[in-house]
Amino acid sequence: MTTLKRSERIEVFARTARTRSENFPADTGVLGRLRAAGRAAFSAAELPNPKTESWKYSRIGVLLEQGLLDRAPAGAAATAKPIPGLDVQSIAIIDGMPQPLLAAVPGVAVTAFSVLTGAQAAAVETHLGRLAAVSERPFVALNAALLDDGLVIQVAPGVDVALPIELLLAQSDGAAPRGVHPRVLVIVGRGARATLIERHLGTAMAFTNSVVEVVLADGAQLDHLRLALDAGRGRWLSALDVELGHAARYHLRQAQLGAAFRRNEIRIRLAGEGAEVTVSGAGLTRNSDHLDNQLCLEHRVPRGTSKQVFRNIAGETSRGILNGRIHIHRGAQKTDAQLHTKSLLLSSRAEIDVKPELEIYADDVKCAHGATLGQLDANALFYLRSRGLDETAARTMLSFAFLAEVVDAFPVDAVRAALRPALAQAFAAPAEEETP
Amino acid sequence: MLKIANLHATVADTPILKGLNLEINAGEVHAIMGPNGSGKSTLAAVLAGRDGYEVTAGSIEYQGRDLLALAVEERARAGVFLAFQYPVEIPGVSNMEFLRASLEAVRSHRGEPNLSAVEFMKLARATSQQLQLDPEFLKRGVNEGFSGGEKKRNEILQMLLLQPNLAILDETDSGLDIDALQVVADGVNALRSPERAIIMVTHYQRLLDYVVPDYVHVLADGCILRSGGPELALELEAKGYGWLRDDAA
Repeated sequence: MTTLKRSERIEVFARTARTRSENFPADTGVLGRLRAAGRAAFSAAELPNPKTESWKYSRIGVLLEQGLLDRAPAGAAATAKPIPGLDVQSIAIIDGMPQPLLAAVPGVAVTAFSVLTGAQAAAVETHLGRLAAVSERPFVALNAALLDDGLVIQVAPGVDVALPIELLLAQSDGAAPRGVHPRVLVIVGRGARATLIERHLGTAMAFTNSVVEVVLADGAQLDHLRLALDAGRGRWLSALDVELGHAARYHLRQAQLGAAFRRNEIRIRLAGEGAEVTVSGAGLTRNSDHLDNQLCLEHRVPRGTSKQVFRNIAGETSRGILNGRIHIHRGAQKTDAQLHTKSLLLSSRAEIDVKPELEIYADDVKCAHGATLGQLDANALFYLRSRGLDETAARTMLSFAFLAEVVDAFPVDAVRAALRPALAQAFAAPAEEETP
Repeated sequence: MLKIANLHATVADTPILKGLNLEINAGEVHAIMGPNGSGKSTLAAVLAGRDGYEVTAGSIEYQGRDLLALAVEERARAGVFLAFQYPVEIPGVSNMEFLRASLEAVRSHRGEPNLSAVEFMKLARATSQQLQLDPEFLKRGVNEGFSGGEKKRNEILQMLLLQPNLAILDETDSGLDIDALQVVADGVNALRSPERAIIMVTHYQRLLDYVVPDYVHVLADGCILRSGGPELALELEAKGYGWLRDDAA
């Protein structure tokens, strides 16, 4: 294989993507219009380069490798282990392709873009691509351009959906490299309440370029858990764009292991007064894995609150990145925004880059941020040792507790019960380095 | 069991203990009393091996070994137990997980086999109940959100599980109401045996009504000012510490 220069690889990637986007059959529906917009935006866009600030620590080289734009073979199966003891309404997108639904929960409608018609199509199109606009980010444009199909999940106004909705973004079991572009729009109606458990599954060398948009109407509430516990060779780029109406509540909890590439671009827009956002994240990277969380909280109107708590641990030569931007717009008075991060390095060759970015254009707000790196509590260490644990065991216990503390506060008992052992396993015995 | 000779210790270069002598035999319960700042808690911290407490002179011999040469965890495994005045909250580590790891570390040092998960659960639950501590506390983070009294009972729970040879209770009675004091005292009395020694560091006579010591020592300005039997504590209660100082002067 000849070694191409970076610019040549980007050129090949962009050309391949354009060719692929032109191969879709003509479609005059929702799907066709989204693809056309994506294709046009991608053609005009420039991929991130080393000077692009938000991509400073996440180089796109691993996304440009051969085969990562290939289509997945049709009809491939995926083995998704269910979370023990968790009763859910499950929705699977395998290799980017929404799977037929088994059963429907009252108050929740799940529809593929490809079958949307009439008023429902019109309602969906008022939101689709509005939050994750194709013009702003090249990979969001790519998602639209190469979309096989997508799903809209609509929770009817006023409904309190007791059963969590599980959204699986899974790789099929095949080994061939491929690029997949899952797309989901979640609309939670006025005063409705739901729990969404989004799981990213698969360890093969595939590029999963997902876009999830979430629209919360006035007074709606969504508990959104995102679990990405498969390390490995996957390249995961996930855009999550959320908008909250008046007094809506959005609680995002992430538990993630690194992978060959894992990056989340999360933008949360408080568009209605009195909206409330909490984000908590536990991230663990081992070996040479990569985990990048880019967050942007947009306080656009008064009296919004946002509270973000992150814990990251990096071992070996892995890298964790957290960029937390809080943008308080002019007039967004009485905003209360907090961002707290704690990071822990297990090795001198591991790296964690944390950057808070505050942009505040209102004068009557509370905005706090704090970041600590590396320290285990000396009192706790002494306490454990005074009970007979040796220093290594005590440090290990406290390091793991550092993550567990965040995860222990997650809702859904079965998820909590499954997370602890999954994280403990990754913490205790990192998988062997994969040979390329 | 324990021989402390001419012990001098400093905290942040400030001398706190200034030539302390104390001998404790198996089977004995000693109370160490004294005003604030007399060095009571420093003595407890030095015995357990806390960082930041520097021994500048003197020696501590425990079961014929140089205690000061042992690391914190080696002391614990050798049977030294400190019940903390301020037990530490450790969110993210469940009490159960902590107790089990601790018990395994100590038992394996003694050459005893590990308990099975079921055996351990039974023991932990039974001991919790003995201390009137809801077994639900076993599932929570270590001391996380526990009240003052619950934290102290959790210390005694650990002590009863680990069955130390030398237990040092650092102001375990402070912040306890009468009922909790009774429960804690019952726990301490349950540990009394001819093979064990107990040191109770306390401010007040109150605890000594429930756990009657063999010896009472009064610590002042880093030295033991006077030693006696249980009656000394009563005398202190009546006359205050000033009486001894004046007496000494």
